[in-house]
Amino acid sequence: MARFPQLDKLDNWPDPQTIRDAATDLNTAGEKYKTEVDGAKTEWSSVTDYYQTDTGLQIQLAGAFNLPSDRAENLATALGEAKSALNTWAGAVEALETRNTDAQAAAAAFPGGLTSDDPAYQEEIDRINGLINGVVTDYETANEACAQTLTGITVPIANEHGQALGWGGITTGYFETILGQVHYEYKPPTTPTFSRREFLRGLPNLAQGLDPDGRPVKLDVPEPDFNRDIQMTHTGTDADGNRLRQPNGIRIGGGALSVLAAGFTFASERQKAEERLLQENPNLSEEELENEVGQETLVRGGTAIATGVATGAIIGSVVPGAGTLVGAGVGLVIGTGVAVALELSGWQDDINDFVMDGFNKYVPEGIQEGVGEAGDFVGDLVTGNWGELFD
Amino acid sequence: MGAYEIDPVGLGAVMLNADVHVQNLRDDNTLTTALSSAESAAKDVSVVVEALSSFEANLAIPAKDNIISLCEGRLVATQTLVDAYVEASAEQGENARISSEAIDTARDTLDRDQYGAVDLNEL
Repeated sequence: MARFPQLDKLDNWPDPQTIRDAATDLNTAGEKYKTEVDGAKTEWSSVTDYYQTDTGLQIQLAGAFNLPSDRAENLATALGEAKSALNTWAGAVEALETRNTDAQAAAAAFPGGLTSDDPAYQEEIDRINGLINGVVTDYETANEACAQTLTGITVPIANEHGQALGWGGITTGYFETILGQVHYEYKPPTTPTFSRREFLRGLPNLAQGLDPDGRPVKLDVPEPDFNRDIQMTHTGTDADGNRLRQPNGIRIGGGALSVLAAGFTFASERQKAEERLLQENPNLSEEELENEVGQETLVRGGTAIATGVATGAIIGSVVPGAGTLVGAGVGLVIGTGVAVALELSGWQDDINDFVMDGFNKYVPEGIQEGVGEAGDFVGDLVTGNWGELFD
Repeated sequence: MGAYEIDPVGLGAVMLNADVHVQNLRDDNTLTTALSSAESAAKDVSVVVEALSSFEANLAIPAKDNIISLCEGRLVATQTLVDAYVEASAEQGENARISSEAIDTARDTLDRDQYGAVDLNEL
């Protein structure tokens, strides 16, 4: 065995036909769901024969099963993609089976008539290892490709709580390692949700920082775990491979607000970094100072903004209709309030320190300098042109 | 108060017929069985087993549950209207008018499904 270290990786391969059968069953399950929901939709189509209302009071029941039907189709499509991934994998495994058999046979036949003092003895070991290693590499590549395709499958609805909102490491979810990559796992908010109607009725109370029934709003802000090993991939996707995004309202209506807040944040971080670095090391050259300040401005400022935006997104996601202008706007406003609270409590600085430590520890020096130049540029922009906006 | 014309028997029949399909969805284990078979078929290939497991936990089963929940929400909302109409008919006869509370409840049920617990990107 020591002569052929990877020989055992040729054992216990999955059976391609069994994989294909399972793949077919997955596809069948998806089709079955779609058929049943479409059946319900067909039955529902005669609702208007037995139900009518005044136009102004109408509750739209006639098309009520369109949404479930669309969702069932999405699920069926996703399961069809899973079937395709598994079939491709089965084909790849099958194509490697002959090479697997040949490599195992060569290993079993070794050493044949060769003796260990024969020069051909080692050559034969190398040849057989070449056969084994080649098959193992191709097999593992096929396995990884199948896993990646499965992981990349998405449907418009990621889970029953909706898609994760925001971008960055601090939202209502957590990161977990899947297949060597860190993915975002959505965790639903623990605060109670309101129906849209309840929400709109209670809007005047929300404006005063109360819940729709006029009670003080209690927010469960999770305590950050600074000891957790977080490796950001910056792929911007959640566990289902869906792209993380802000609610539409923030993107459309809150863009100017976000830029405004970002400017203040960068300016604040730049000032803090400059003062601290000068105190710590008065002998820094102007160029070194600018670069160091730039790095801190971009990394710490970016972290603060990510926290604020994500917090806004959390609150936006608590309120149904968060994708609407109203829901997202309220989320942003409350989120900003929480961000201010974090800043006052010192948590925001802790979070920024945590990210800054990771940046200094893990990011290569050359890239750090590049970041510093970019941050320096941003810093100049916000401390120069930004201030003129308010003169 | 809302002016509704409802045939409780006819609408009830529609709901029952639709619910037969929803019940079939509730009782169906095809998806879990197929996913379990796929994980077994992958044997010792941990990367594929993990990917299938993740697919099941984060996508397939939640999506299935969501579909059933949406269907049930529609049945509940309709049932609310039918019940309110039957109650109003008993009190007001042919000119029955459904209370605004019942209308709001039905709307809220649909709203919650539509906006509260599902795909925010569709808004």
